[in-house]
Amino acid sequence: MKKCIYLTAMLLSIASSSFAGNHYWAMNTSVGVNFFGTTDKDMDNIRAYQSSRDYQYGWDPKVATSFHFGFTPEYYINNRISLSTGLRLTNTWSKYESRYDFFYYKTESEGYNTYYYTVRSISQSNTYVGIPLEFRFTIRGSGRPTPYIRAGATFNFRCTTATKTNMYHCEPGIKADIKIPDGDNFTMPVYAAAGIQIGRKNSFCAEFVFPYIVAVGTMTGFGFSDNLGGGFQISYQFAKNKSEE
Amino acid sequence: MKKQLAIICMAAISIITACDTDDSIDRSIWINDSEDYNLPEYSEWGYNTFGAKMGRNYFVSCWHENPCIMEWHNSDKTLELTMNGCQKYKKNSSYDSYAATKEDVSLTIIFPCDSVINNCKKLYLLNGKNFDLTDPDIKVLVKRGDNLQEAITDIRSGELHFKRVQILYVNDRFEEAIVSGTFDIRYVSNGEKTWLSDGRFDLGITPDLFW
Repeated sequence: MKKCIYLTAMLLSIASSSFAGNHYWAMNTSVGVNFFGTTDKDMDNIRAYQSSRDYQYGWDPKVATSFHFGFTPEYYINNRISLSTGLRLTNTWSKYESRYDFFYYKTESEGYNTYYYTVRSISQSNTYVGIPLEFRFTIRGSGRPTPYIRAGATFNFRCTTATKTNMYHCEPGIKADIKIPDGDNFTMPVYAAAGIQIGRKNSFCAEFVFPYIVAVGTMTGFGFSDNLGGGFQISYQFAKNKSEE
Repeated sequence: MKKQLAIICMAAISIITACDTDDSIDRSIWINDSEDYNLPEYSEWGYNTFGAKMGRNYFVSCWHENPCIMEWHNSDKTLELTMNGCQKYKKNSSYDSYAATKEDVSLTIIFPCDSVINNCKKLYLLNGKNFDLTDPDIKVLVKRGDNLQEAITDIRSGELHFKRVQILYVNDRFEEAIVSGTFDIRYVSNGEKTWLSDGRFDLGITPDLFW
């Protein structure tokens, strides 16, 4: 019972504080980086180079890095709670590289014939245009370094894909028809972050993005990526009609 | 002196940067089966491994130089497949890298073919073929340890299935035939009932391994 009263009191205090302050708009410009670790099964066409007894397969697991920047207008319901959306450009980059001279990459089979090519590395870059929807709760009032938490999701749509293959072989003129699947057509990372805001009217924010998973969509359906992401973001906020505290 | 040093350096660099001979495709690569880590998983990559349950133990490929060999007998139009492995005790846990070896075992199956398969590029003709090992035209031979090879005459049931045969080209050059499939056999030898079950093989047959 005490817990219920305490919870109700907390919710009422948050709700009341939401409508207590003045409303205003701010514009954020942000840059960030996220890292993902991925699993071996992402590259089904790479032949294992070592036995599983050796606890490794002979190529480095794909490590994907994602950079983004964006402009997000933010609407402050009061000095504590705000909602934001906007536009964000994200570029993800990943690379497979053999621990040895090369790995075998299997291209599509024709009849009974199967073709392997010796490859040093494969890298891929995907660019997404995204629409973020985020909620921010500032833990203390603004005007000094103030901690906040942010949660939201970004709806990313793939624009471009570029794949680069570094072949390993002696004979000149061999050109493998290596077709690496493009990145997912749609991704939706759902994330939470914690950070601090420094400054009075215009302010600087630095935050740590907690590990999160990504919902992905391809031509065949939707699912969840089994890769965890996490990273950092910094942003600068231009506030309009914000009262000095 | 400087000229000699430069020549030595250039020779060393050329040796270091020269392309390696592409022999790694011949090596055995063991990927644990996700359900039974005593067996290799069924694969079609030419990993040069095989395995089957052998009673309470296992008959598996054991890093022999030639885990498999195939031979065409033109006189009676039969093909001989030999898997050289060993009988291993069950591993105590998946963390054990290697199970203890009981003895070397080789399994040879000689079966008739409708087509002439006199080189390894023609092995694709086996693709999808099933052989009933109780067929009297099929011979099964087992060699255990230092004993002589024994022809198995009392085969109660058995099947050899070539699920997929691929002709492999590496960098557009022919390399080997990848022969993948499954096998099971129950037989009586010297009054002892023996069975090989849940067998699977993924063999790379290079021209050197085809006779």
